[in-house]
Amino acid sequence: MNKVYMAAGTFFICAGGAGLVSYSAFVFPQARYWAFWLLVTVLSAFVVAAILDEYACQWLGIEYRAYLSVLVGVGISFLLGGLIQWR
Amino acid sequence: MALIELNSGKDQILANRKMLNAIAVLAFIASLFLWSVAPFVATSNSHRDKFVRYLSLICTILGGDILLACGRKLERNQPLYKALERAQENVFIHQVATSQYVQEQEITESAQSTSQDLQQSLPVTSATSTLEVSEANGSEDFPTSTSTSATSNQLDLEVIREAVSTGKSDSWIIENLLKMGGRKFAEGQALLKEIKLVVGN
Repeated sequence: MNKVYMAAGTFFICAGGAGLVSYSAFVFPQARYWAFWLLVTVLSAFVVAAILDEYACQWLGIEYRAYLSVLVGVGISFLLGGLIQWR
Repeated sequence: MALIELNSGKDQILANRKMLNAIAVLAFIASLFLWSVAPFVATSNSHRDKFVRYLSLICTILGGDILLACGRKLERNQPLYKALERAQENVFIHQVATSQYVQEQEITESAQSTSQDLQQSLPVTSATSTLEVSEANGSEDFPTSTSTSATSNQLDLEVIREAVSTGKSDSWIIENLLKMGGRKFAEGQALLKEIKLVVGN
C-alpha cells in the first residue's frame, strides 16, 4: 500500500506540474514560448535518462525494471497532466 | 506500569499508522477530484475560473506531496508494524494454546475422578493375563474367578478397553468380564456405557 501511495503522489506532482505549465501556456499566449522550451528541455532529459539507463540505475541504487517503471510512469503523468489541462 | 507504557506506545504506533493511511486516502481522493474535475468545470476565461484552475492544480501538487510523505513514513515504519503484528499473533496463539491446555487439563481431571468413582463401584475381575492368553489362543474362554482389589481395577479397565477395541460384543463383556448377566444385565449395560465413555471407545 505504501508503494501505491508513493506512486499516486508522484503522479499527482508530475501531472499537477505539467498541468500548471500547460494551463499557463493555454491561457497566456506569451507563456507559450517558455512552455515550448521547457517541453524541449524535459523531453531531452527523458531521452538522456533513457540512454544512460544503466548508469542511472547504479547511481540511484534501484533495479533496472523499477527505473524503467519510474521513467515510463513519470512520462505518462507529464503527458496526461499536460493534455487534460489544455482547455 | 512499564507494561502499560509499552502497550500505550504500541497503540500509539498503530493509531499513527491508521491516521497516516486515512490522511493518504483523503489526500488521494481530494487530489484526484481537484485534478480531474476543475478542467471540465472552470472552462471560461474569467478571473474566477483561472483562480479555481490554478488553485486546484496547486492543491493537486500539495496532495501529491502529502501522499509521498505518508508513503515514505509508512515505508520507513514497515519493520516496526510487522514486528508489532507478529507480536500480536504470538500473543493470540499463546492465549489459544493456554486455554486449550487448561481445557484439556480439566477434561483429564474430570475423567480421572470419574474413573476413580467407577473403579470404586466396579465388580470386575483382574484378568489381563488370562485375556492375553485366551486372545493368543483365539478362544473365547475368559476367567470365571472373581477377585476384586483396588490395585487390579486399573488393569480391569484395561481389559475391558482391550475387549471393546478387539470387537467383543457388549453382552459378552457384561456377562464374562463385568459378571452382570441375567437380572443384572441392564445394570451391566449402563455400567459398560459409562466405562466406554471413560476409556474413550
